[in-house]
Amino acid sequence: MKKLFMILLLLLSACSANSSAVSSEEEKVFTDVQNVVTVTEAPAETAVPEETPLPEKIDLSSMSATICYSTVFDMLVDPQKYEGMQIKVRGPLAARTDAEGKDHYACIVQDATACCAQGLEFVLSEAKELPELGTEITIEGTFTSFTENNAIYILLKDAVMN
Amino acid sequence: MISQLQTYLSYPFVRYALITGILIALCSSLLGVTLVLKRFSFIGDGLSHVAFGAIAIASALDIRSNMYIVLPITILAAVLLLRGSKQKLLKGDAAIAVISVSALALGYLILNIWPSSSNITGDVCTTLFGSTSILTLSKSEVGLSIVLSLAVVLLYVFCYHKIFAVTFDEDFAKACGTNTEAYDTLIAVVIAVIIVLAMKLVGSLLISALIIFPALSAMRLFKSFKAVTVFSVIFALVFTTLGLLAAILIGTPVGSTIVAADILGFLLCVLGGKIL
Repeated sequence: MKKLFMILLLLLSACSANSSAVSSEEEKVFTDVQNVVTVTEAPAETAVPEETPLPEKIDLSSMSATICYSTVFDMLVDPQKYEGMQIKVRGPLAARTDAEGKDHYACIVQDATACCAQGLEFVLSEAKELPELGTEITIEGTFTSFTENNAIYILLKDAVMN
Repeated sequence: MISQLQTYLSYPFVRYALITGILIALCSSLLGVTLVLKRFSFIGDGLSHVAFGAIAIASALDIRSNMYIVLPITILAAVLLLRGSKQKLLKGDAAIAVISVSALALGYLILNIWPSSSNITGDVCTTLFGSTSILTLSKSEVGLSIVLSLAVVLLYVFCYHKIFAVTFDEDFAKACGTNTEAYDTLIAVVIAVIIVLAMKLVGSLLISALIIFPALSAMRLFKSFKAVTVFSVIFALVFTTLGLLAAILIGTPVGSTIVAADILGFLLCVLGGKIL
């Protein structure tokens, strides 16, 4: 067994390990329909190693529930990677009113078991009457993130609802 | 489907999930043979419930990187279970049952009394069934998983003969001068590490599948310890990869899809055993 393993090690010795710095982040996701603003605390340190570039447009509506949820999770963890990208997403409409009385709207994305959900907030490019809460909508907009009170928020700006 | 898979593979978190999932399956299958032969198949379940309880404690204490709490507690439980099996007070499956249900119940109680998020159900469901946990790993978790997995593999390779002796005839190994207690402790620690890693892949409730199915499937076809070990590794790698890819493409929970793939593989091996 040892000999076989050593031979395998020699054959695979060209592999190199990725030892990039890591950042520690914590995400809190409000999955209640009335609480759809997703919040990410500002990471202590960030390091973006070289990776395969992502496409300029990401169609979450055509992805499986598993990948769709994971991608939105990744957007929360590393929003800079998705900055400026066109994102298309489909899901139930949710809304929340903040402490200042301003309404925020989001599209809910659920995982495969539908026990976990995340909201992707959007701001429409033109004022439009929105359907009832819970209605399945398709939103396409430009991904952006901003920091407020030491928390990172993500949303789709200039969004169009189909 | 191929183009869709290629698109998914362009995402780093998908590649991380595949690498980590394959390494976890490899480690689980290696130790699974030993555990099945020592009649400790359900220890994975017991330890995963202990890990769940530890995660609950870490959440209540608002500790972000819960590995620092989960790993030591799970290792302690593993040592107590495996080494304590020789005591008369509480043996084998009874000990596993007591620790398992206690940790699960107390863990859920702690999460409800001191919730760390507004979605307790989602957090519990994800931890128990591993819906998308493997696809939401941070870089530090991926690095730690790789290091721990490689350490387990190296340990197994270099201690193979001792593990073999301790698995089949502990008394004879002891008589020959092997420090069986030390190897029992080592196996307990390694199992705990694998359980904590495997929770990310299939969740707490389904961990036993990763340990049991590869070994049992291999035993349907082969008789020698080495052949069973090698085949269980190949089985784990193939069916974990298939399950993970199926979950990604179809959109099903990762944990249960991997276990479904393992069940299919087991049935194929049973059929193969009857034919050959």
